[in-house]
Amino acid sequence: MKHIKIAFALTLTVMLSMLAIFAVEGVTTPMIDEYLQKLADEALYSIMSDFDGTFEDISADYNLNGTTILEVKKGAEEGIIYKASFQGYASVITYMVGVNLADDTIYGLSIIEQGDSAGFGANIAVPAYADQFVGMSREDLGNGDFDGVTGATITTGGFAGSLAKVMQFHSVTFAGGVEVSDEEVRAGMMNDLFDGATFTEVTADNTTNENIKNIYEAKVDSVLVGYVYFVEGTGASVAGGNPFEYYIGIDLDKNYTGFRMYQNNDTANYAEPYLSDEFGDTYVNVALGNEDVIDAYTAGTSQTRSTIISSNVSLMEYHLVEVLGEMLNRPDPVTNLGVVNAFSTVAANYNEIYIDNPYNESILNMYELTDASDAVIGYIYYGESQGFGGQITFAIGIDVLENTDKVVILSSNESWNNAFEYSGSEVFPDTTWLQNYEAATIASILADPGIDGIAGVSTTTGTRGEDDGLMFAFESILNYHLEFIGGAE
Amino acid sequence: MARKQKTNREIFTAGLIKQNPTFVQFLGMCPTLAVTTTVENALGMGAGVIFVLVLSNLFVSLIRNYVPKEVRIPIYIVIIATLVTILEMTMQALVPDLAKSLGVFLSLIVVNCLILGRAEAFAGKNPPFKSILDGLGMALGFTGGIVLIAIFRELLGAGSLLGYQMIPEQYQISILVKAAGAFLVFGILVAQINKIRFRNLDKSEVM
Repeated sequence: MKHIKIAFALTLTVMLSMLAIFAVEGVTTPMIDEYLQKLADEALYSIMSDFDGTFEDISADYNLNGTTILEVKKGAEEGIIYKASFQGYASVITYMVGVNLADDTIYGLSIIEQGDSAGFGANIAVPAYADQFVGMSREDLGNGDFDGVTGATITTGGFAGSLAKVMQFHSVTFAGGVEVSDEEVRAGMMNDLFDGATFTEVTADNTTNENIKNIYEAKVDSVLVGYVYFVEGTGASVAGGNPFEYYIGIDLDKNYTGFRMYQNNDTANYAEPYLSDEFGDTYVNVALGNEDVIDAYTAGTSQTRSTIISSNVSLMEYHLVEVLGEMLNRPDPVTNLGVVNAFSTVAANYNEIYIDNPYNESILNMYELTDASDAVIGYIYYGESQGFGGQITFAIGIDVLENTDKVVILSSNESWNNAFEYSGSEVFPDTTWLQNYEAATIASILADPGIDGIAGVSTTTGTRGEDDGLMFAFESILNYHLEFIGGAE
Repeated sequence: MARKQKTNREIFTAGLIKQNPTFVQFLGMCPTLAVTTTVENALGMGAGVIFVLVLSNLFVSLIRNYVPKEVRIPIYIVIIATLVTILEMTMQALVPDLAKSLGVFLSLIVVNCLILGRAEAFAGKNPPFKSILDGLGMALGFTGGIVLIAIFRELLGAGSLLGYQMIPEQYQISILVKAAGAFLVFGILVAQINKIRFRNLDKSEVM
């Protein structure tokens, strides 16, 4: 009985409360709406001060979904007022701008709502800031020809981007402007990366990569100045997982010349910052490999930033390896160590192929050497063995006919003083003993019983039958080559 | 800490001086410190509290014999919340600028200890008319308290009174319009009021 009484009392109280609030709401909501409408209209009349007609809301006539424009209000034949919003540094900023239909100038601009940092982005709402827009030409406003907000680059960038889109809309809808074609957009982006250059597509001439859609050579006066890539990636969005496409430029000094997001399918107000030119300009003169210095453009978009950066890094590695022919900073850079000296002919490419082949304890890396037309001209094995004084690293070159070329000792800490046969006359690693392995067919080296370790330095050279030293390392590699690379099975 | 009052006059005046919510009971400190930046805000908040406190005391008193003891607090809170919601909607419709000024503190009247405190301590145990008097007295005491603080803060801190500028900028003590200044003014006023309250007591009787 008690519980029922309690439940009843509570329920009754809540129901009565609901009724009371419902009743009051019915009366007050229209009053509140009217007040807000008056406020909004006040803003409209303050922008178009000489207009005394009524404003007609024509937003429904256009597909404004996902665009920066929130509302379009028409003031008879005199002017159009747009309400738009964009992502500022830390808040969504809403503003109204009025365009004069008669002479294509701006009536004025008013910031309706903003929550950016006081003293910086918040200064966009200072009334005096909007004074510069009165009477400005619509074209100038769309081009960003106005004073930004001091110390608030991101806010200003978002603002300029949003205004450009609003003015573009106006131009197309009311002023007989032509929609900017896709070609023009793309050409504009590429031109931003290399000003005044002509672009030749070279995608077909380069190794395919599933993310790189197009590769262009940028030339000024027929001189190559750099490359532009059109790349596709996934995930550069606050929403996560959406595909994005961008243009990125790399000059011959291995610096980025800029970045232009072509589209990123992100949620409205988060998409704009990364579509802005200001974000793309943060790439200018950033060295390849230094992508970390590029910051997230707005608060709360670090996920977006990291997916963009990791796409950039993959692109950068492709560029370094495939286009510039460099080795990436792997633990054993070929050119730095002189591994290339094991083969007398200089190759166009030193392709690491160790990953595609089985592991061998003596081999640190193996390279396939190709010439400019991608034909294989030889191989180099970068190997190691344990000597008396520590690790010995070396490189041995082999041509396509299974002849060895040269043996180069890259690092060692051996003394040759105790070498019985050579003492006094030779020093490791310049010893002639290594010539046993140079310029001979693999088969003959392996079959030669005369090649043996040197007494007195057997730790360095090894002993036949003992599976140690340099002998063991060399023979392992030669056998490996025959088995996995050579014609013999 | 409410002592049972005998006469209606005593009930009414208790909230004004002897049991002043702001300076004696220290109830509703949060809005006190927040809305006392201007006298206009303080008056607005005071009016809201009068509305809510009088009506909530009335309703609580009317249902005091029918409400099961176990759920009296939730029911009191629903009543108070309803009244505050109605107050908020009405203020937004009729005086939107003031409502915007008070902002979230209008909604926070719900959790103002003063309202729930009086409902529990007095209205739940006393007849409606007495409850109305108690509510009115307490609310007026609260309003008086915050208006007094606001007078000092606005006049000395911002140099104006009800929006009329009176003291030029160089003589304004701007800390008074910040949170720290609120505590300062409040503390000094409490000290003065305590001085008056305890002037008739022997030194040995002071708690």
